[in-house]
Amino acid sequence: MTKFYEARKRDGAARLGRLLIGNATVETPLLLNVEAFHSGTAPVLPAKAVARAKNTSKLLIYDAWELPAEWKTARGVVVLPKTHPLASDVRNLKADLYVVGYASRLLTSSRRLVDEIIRLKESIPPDAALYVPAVATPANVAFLIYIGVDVVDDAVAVIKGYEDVYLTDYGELRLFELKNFPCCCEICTSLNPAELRKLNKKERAELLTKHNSLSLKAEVEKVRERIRSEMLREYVESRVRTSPFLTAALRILDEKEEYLERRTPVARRSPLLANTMESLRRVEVKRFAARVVERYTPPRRKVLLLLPCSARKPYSQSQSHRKFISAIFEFGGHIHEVIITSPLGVVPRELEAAYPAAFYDVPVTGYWDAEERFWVGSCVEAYLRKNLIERGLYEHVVVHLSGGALEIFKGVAEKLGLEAFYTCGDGEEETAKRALERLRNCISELCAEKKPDKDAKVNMIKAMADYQFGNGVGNLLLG
Amino acid sequence: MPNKNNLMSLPTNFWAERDFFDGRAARSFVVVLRTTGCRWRRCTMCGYWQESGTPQPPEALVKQFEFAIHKLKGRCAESPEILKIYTSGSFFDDDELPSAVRLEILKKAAELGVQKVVVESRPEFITPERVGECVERFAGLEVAIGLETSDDFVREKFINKGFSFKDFLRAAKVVKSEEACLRTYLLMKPPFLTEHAALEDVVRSARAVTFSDVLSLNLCNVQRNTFLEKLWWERHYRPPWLWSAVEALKRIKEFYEGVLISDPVGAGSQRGAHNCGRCDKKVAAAIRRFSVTQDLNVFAEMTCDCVEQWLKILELEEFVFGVITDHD
Repeated sequence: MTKFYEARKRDGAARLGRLLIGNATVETPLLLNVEAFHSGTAPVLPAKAVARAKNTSKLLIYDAWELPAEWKTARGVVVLPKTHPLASDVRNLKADLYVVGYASRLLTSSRRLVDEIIRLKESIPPDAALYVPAVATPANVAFLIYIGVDVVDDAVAVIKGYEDVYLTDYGELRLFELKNFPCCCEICTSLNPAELRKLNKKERAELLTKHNSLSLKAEVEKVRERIRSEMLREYVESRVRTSPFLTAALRILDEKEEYLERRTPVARRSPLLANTMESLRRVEVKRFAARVVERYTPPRRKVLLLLPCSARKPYSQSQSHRKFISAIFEFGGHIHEVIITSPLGVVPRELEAAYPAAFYDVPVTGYWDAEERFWVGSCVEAYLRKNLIERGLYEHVVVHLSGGALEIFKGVAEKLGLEAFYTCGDGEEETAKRALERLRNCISELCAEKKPDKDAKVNMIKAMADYQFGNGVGNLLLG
Repeated sequence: MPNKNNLMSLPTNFWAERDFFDGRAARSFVVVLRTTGCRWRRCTMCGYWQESGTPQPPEALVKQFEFAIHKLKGRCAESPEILKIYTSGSFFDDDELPSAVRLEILKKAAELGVQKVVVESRPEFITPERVGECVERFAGLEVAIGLETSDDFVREKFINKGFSFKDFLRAAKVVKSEEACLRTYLLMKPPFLTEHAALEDVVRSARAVTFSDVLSLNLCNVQRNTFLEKLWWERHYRPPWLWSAVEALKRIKEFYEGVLISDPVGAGSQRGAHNCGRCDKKVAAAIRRFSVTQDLNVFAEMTCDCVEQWLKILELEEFVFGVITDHD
């Protein structure tokens, strides 16, 4: 347990937190200003720089071998890499703020960046803050915070200023190639690139550094705001687009399921926007698919009806689903409805109001790319194997799908050797009159007698309880 | 002549250069003999042990020397005033060069008519007997010792040099009392020191060894297959700025009256001491010029835009809990 840091809100592995320094609290994610280090005005300072003064109004960062025994105010410790002769086991170091020593190594590869930060995060207490010095730029800071870094500084922004490099949230630009400043900060509105170039090196560097730091500050503010509105993942997916290094890092991070699963809230109050290839690999998406197979038990019904998704959520509120429901309503007690969709895969009707099923959006063009087909196909296959083949819960499969979703189902059916009734004609939309007619006829033939679905509400609550808390919880609660 | 088909029987390297001697830039020959190499070979920045060979009979070692001198004479009309005999190890280690070989080589150096012979050794091999007999054979002997830094902590933890400042002082005393000259090597920027700490360290070290006849500031460079190279690949290390070397030379020259030299090996490359890339050649040339003239005026009005960057790094690097490496 650390004493002076508290994480108060999270989105993915990112946190909004509070660090208690002296009598003041500072909010994380925190951007430190290196010039303030130098002048001694930063809230956080290396213990070496504060000459023996018992300065309790600062958070002091110690070398591991200098860490005092008593721990009365917030403190930090430097974690040295294994290659350093003075490195010690981080598990033995007790502090509120852990500082990554020689952090420049993190930029040698995307995998290293992800692996090392995760390794550190796993070896420090979950309620301690992590500071990665001299790495943050406006382009990468969203990702750094997303992976779990709480404190950064503007050292790179300053050094880049002295290298005549102009930083933006989409990457680096050379001052000598700029015609206009694509920024509205106080520096960029006070002169143009040509005027800046005319200044001597020192003046030029100071102004450029100021812009770079402001640009980083603006980005950190945006990220904080995105955490507050629980939309950081969507923001990070757009931010990493500007660099292959960062895009690779996000993809590698998404492989670390255990790390993210433990840190990603089960529900957010914002929609899940699946706009990119990486969206398919989001932990919320994988978690939903896994829980549908592992935790959810469908009711025993004569007919499994596969339906397309709708833009409006929950699906049953949409025009298209109202049409499907009215077509089969009288036979509801014989039917189990399951929706095929990207990126969630398979959504049983009872779970349509769960997060993220009721809260996602995805660009619909009618085109399903190979990644989507593969992923959704694997979800459909897993569902059918377990509930149709192994458990034998259904007698018939009725497929009211067209386009890409239909092709995906057909691929799975062929693989599993399944027979099914197809109720959409070639090139016919699911809501077409003739398709709905065909659906009604098919269902009434298969079910023969009418039987409304009386258990719908109870089943929904049980399914939600199982989904949220684990297999069998629904029955324990509702009998 | 040694058998040319057997590379191991050839000297590791040999070349001609110039050194400050007798108030001017004098001609010197450098011969690196291939012995069994350094016995310690554990220093973090040193890859010279890779140049060592298999044990050789005494005659072969003398032949290596003769071969190099023969070739150098052919290349260079001017006769040398200084001769440097290195081994990628220690001249006074009997396992590398037996006493008889040392004396034979010095005899040949005397025949060559040089004024000064420079050899290198770790302190543990420096005894009054070994140095004494050599001085007897050749009076203008200069013994170089790689102290690297006067800071025992840095030397032990970061360089892994395997001897203390006290060990160095003992050996230095032997060299002096046997009436040989003492040359001390200082390492500019050992691993894990910031640019600023490295600058302070080298100046402080110079202050601790002002009794040296020659002080050589060795700018740390990244040699292959060394621990330092691993650090460098991992962005844990950046070789020193040439500006730091210039600053160190200026500051040391203020209090040090002996000969102060620096050979910026690999200057301008990513593995060697470097600045921004635009001024490296100019600054390295000035450092070489200073070494043969001892005139600080060679640095007058020498500047570049990157001086500001270097100053900023001196100031900020103390606060990044690591190093500021060059960014891509």
